[in-house]
Amino acid sequence: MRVGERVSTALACAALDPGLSGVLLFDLDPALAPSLARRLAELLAAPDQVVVVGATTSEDDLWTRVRPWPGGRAGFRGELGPLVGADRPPGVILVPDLARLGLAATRAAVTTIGADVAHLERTGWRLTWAPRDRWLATCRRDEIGRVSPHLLDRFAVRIDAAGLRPGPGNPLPEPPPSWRRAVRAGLLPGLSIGAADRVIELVPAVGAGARRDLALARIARALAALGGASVAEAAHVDEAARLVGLSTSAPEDLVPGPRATEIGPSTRAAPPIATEPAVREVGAPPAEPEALPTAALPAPGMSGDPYPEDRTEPEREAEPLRSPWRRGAAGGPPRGHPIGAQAAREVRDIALTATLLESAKFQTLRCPDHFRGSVAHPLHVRAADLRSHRRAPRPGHLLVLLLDHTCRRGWDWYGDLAPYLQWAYALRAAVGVIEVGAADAPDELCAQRFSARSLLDPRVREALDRPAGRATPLAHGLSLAVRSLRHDTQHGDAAVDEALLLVVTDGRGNVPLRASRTGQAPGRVGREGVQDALDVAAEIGRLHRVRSLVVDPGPRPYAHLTTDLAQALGGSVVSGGPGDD
Amino acid sequence: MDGQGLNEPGVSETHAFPLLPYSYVVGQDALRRALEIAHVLPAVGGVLVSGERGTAKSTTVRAFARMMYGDLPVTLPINATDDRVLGGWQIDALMRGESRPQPGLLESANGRLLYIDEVNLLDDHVVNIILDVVSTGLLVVQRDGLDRPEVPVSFTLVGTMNPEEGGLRPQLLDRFGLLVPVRAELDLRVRRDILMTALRFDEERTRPDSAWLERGADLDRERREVIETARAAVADVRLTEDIASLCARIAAEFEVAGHRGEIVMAQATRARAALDGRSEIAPDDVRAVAPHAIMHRRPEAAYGEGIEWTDKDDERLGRLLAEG
Repeated sequence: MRVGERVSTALACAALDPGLSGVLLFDLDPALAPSLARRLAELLAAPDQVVVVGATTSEDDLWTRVRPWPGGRAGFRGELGPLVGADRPPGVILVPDLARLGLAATRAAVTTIGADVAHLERTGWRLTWAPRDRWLATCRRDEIGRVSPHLLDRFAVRIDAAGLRPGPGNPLPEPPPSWRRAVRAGLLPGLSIGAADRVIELVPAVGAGARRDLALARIARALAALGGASVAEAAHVDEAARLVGLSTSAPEDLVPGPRATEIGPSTRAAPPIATEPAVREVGAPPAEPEALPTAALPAPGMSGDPYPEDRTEPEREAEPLRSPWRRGAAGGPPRGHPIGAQAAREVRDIALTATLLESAKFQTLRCPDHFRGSVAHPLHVRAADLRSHRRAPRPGHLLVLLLDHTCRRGWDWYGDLAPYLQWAYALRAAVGVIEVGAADAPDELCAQRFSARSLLDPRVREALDRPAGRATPLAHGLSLAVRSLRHDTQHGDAAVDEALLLVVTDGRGNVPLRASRTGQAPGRVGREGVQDALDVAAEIGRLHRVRSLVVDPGPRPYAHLTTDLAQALGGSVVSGGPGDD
Repeated sequence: MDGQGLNEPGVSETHAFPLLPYSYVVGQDALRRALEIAHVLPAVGGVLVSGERGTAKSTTVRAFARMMYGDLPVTLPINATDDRVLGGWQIDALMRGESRPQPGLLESANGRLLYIDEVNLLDDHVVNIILDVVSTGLLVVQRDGLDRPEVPVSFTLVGTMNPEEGGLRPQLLDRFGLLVPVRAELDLRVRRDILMTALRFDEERTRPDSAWLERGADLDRERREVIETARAAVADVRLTEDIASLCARIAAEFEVAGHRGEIVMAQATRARAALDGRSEIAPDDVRAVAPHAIMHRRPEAAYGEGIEWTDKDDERLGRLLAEG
């Protein structure tokens, strides 16, 4: 199937079945996104209903917004935002780059795509509706690791759109009239037992709960409907699998190693609630090229793997759907996440909806005939009505403390760390602690991470006193540090001003990153662990507003490793160790 | 601001938002039992559902609320503003020049179920508001010209979350009586049942006179009667000294912080016995509810880490139960 035909079919499926309301196009030429969104909107019979959301879209842009009064009258009025789908036909929400979608839109996507019900409870508005908008997103395959799996999970239809080129005409073939009729009718054929069995056969048992099963079955059903069939059969499932790029040879064992243990005898264990999710989710295989034992490669002309996130290095920030914690610091422009409204003291950062709401209380007082006339007129807004956003305190400082317990060997490191801990306390810095090589680590091949609101969190002291284990997954610890630092220094408009990364280690990482991520102990301890650590450190070195220090534990063999690490981090080495006590 | 679009809670929602009947939910037995226990004996506290993506967490909670209350649960979305959480003014009335207070979500949920989807993504200031109200049982609204000093409120807090996106603050975690971890079904037959049921529902929901949905509603009515009967009878299920001691020993053995764990455990055993139509609590009731009452109250869980129930934990619990 040619790429244009594939994309066109996928859009028709999405238009036909509200259960396929998330469409993700891999590697689409960005210039084509608007025309594809229009095509989908036309199929939905709402050609003008295309809304673009992106990195800077705010909650107010999406849910309640302010617009000029119609007819050229002076003033503004509030109205519901484009995501509120009550009392209107479904439209299209276009995400030009899913990897760069902002926090507000990401959270909106997670809570509305595929949901039975959506709720709006903002600034006086209370609405409940069944969301039926279709989300059309594009993302480069090599950036999929930056997207939250929770968000990706919402996109049921995944299509490889590489190769679709802009041209003078429409890049997609015109859909047959029968497709438009099928979409208008919206009738969904039944699914045969054979088709259901085929779905279960083709979709690996791990991944996203029942959602991948449902996605394949719904696409098969939509294809059956587009083809005029009254029942979706196994052949439709195969057709759907080929459309999205799933192999039609049944997977015998596509279960990544660590996940396989979950279905073993310890199934009673609950899924852990981790502060650092990716530490637990080690199912993603390594990024290095490696033979995939059983998954058949897609045939020429067939779409690529629809779930690349299963095999991609996670590059996303820690907890990408949460706004970072912030510490207070006076002055500067308001930057934090809006958490409410307050009487304005200055004319910047005005909360328009809240201002209009406030002024509405006094209309009768200010204009006795305001509500008596036959024609409504703009609100009478006075300075006293002005409300500004009450924002979370602007970001402050962050200390990321990477503790390699295996380098300690009787060293009382409190003295060497004290100046930095005092810095963190004095500035009320948030603290992220990454522990490497702790004796009681749940998995000795992995580092552990937690975030604390301040140095006073008792976990920080516990971490400083933890006994040492055997393995030193330094590279994994640094990879957790990258994600933590990226989250807190780059996330939206809530970045910290300064982050200090303090790495306390002798640099002798003996666990390669691949071992940490697959959960499989390396057969031979070589330089791979050290090199991985240096590679990850170089990533940290490229981050702005991050200062890195390596605290050296004193004279020992391979003492140059800490210098190498500091160089890679773009930081410096601080002498420490028992000799300095 | 235009006043269009404001819809009152509960108006025609049953037909406007077709949901899968509770009786048709495939699997998730522990979750369903926990929701039922929390309804039979609200003193148990709420239920926190934590699990992987695509495990029908929200579907089950909404279906349960629809079955028990005939309506969608009062739902607190993660981007709710504080005026909607605490209470404010009806915006459409304001636009007509009238001042009509509008109760907030916490008040709307009084005596019912307050559902927070993606509870771990709630902003901290909303969490603080909820904690204030849940811990005191009093809602104080003194803002925006409203002056309501003390409104008693009580609701069953039910939250769902995907732990991949982070944990909960310990204070909020402790406010959920029971924690139910859910995971994806791996059994092929169950997966097929889920698939067939979900797709059948897609078809049937578009038919106003669906016999299948009607049958589901009948089954739900039957189940609701069982649950309401249990709720009426739970007062007669007495907590014996032996069971109370057992709950306390289990809590101590697992180093549960505070006393809420053992209290919730004891209350939940009563509700479970009532749901089974018994007036006496059996050790099996304790075995069934103990993990859900204590796994999120252990010291390591206070920091959002290690909220799990392992085979080793189960062996320890088994030993305690065997010792009586």
